[in-house]
Amino acid sequence: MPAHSVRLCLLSLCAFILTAPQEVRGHAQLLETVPAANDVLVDSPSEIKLIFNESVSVLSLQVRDGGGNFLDVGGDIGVEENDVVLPLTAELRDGQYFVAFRVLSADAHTISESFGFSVGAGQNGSFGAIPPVEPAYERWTPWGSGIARWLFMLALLCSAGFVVFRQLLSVPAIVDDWLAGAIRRAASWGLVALAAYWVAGAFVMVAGSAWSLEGLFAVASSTMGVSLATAALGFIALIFFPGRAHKRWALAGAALLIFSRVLTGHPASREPELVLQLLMATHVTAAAFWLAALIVLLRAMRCLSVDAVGVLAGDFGRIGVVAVGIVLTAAGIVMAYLHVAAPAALLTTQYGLLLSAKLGGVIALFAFAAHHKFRVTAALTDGDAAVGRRFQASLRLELLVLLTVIGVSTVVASTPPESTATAQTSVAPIAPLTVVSETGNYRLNVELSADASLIRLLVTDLNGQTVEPLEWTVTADLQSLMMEGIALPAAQEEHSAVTFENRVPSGTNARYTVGVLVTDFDLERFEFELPR
Amino acid sequence: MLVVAAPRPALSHAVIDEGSAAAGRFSFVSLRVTHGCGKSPTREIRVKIPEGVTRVSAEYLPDWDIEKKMRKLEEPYQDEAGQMVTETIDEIVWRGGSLPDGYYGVFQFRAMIPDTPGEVLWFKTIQNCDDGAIRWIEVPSRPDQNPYELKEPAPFLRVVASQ
Repeated sequence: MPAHSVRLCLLSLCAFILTAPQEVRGHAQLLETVPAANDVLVDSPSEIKLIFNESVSVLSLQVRDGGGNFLDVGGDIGVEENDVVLPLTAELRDGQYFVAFRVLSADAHTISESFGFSVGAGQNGSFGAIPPVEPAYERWTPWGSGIARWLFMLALLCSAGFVVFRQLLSVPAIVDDWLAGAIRRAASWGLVALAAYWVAGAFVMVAGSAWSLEGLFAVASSTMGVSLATAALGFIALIFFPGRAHKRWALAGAALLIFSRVLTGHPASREPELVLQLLMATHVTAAAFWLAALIVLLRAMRCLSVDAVGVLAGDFGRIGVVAVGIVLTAAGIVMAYLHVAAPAALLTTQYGLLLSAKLGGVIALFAFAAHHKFRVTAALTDGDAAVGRRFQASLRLELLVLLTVIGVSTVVASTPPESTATAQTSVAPIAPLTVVSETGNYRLNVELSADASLIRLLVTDLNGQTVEPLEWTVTADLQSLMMEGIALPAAQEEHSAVTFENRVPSGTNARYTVGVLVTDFDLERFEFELPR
Repeated sequence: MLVVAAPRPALSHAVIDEGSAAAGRFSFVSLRVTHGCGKSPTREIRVKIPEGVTRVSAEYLPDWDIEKKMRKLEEPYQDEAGQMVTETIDEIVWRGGSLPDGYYGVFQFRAMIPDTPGEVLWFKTIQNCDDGAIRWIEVPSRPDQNPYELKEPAPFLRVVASQ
């Protein structure tokens, strides 16, 4: 296909994608429900309404009775701006009901929650086990999606990084020729990884493990779809124009790849948006350059003399001090400051912990870089072969650490930072919460401390008398971490109550299962969801 | 009703061999314990007799001491000898013996089954070992739940209509 035709196609697609109307970006949040959580209604409601802060796509919306049985009482689900409305086609009799839903926000994040309400003046407003939202996917799917995303990011960083590296550094012809082939290969694999990520993401986002086109279209129509399409254009440009002869098109392809990273996720959904997007673009470019440099240097060790590698490493070191040491670090620190509410959050929130892990990896990388710059490069330039071999081993180790840091970064990108004070949900009460056991014979009182750091559980019988259980078992299902059955630390203060530290990160759904041995032969089970 | 159709586990749970018993008649109830607590031998079996099951008499096992814990009946009845029966066995405890892991043991008793065809009687059992214990006391929370999906389900007997 003639080069000018390819250019025309790329330009046209670019214009189409970037000017096409997009949905409002950002994490959708549930603001209110009608009926409200734990409401006791005199009469059956005529509809169920979910009010979000932005428009969403509904993946599933179920009404269940107190026994967890699915009720076929809903008509066609309607979406009116930011409201999701489910008209009820039948009257609900007196009793307890649960509403469970999964929706997809414009930035392709899935929100799944459930809440309960009662019908009938005689209901007391407390609930037993809340039926779980229908299983969304097999356990492997989030891991598959995560791996696909990691591979996609690697290919993107390599592709863009090779172009940037070639632009910033003067490389010998043999390395330059290899770079052209490497760019094309990385871009080709990038397209494959992009497709895998798109498919895996569709499985994760849409309920059910069965194949469905619905998820693909849901992803494609979101901002994530625009981001993937932009990245695809970048990959295509680099496949057709990898060489130095088409330098401008290669740079455009690299720019599209970098730009695709700022169209979705945290930079596109938080304020200040433009600042975050610029910082992210800078950060990703510097990271891509670093990754590419390590790979190119390793390649150079195989085709260049030791002293030539020393010269190349020295050139990279000089630029790397600015690009990596200053630009990447500064951009990363500023973004972390804007995302994380307080330094303490680095150790108390999931997002903060991941960021801290990434920071640890980056510090290790800086140690490698300093060692190479100040102790190795000079010896390489002198042609010391032994130093060359050690340098090669060190580069491989540094590359391994960088790949790990990139892996952590992909998890960071899909983890919501601590929610801001302006976004509140009214789905569940803060405290106290009362849950009836599965047998209906006991009640579990759940209390949250004012700072949400402690959870206290107390069991009473139906007459309100406190029970002294023989044994407690508390586990939590942290959906965002895809882990189940985590035993939480328990500090039993009294015979009748147990208090334990709330380790659930803010903004994370956590479903608790409490087993209480009230007598030798009676095990009562409770389930409740901790409100955000 | 799912309990009726639930497939029997492969020797991993405590079970009642008979599976079902005729309503309103005496029946043998053979509780089979299929393993120890890990490698630890079983030293004590405690069986809770459910409501409605009366006139319980336990099998004598030479190597085991047997204790019968009683409870008051809500509705005393007159037995065949004309005696008023005001209490019934609430729990049977076999202790003192040793059932090594890797062997099964059967603890049998005889009881009058209530005249309630279709009911499922749950015989909650605690198995105490040298090291640890297993509480076979979980009961399905929903009628359609398979008891063998529970981690430690109580042994059960379903009541069927008499011929």
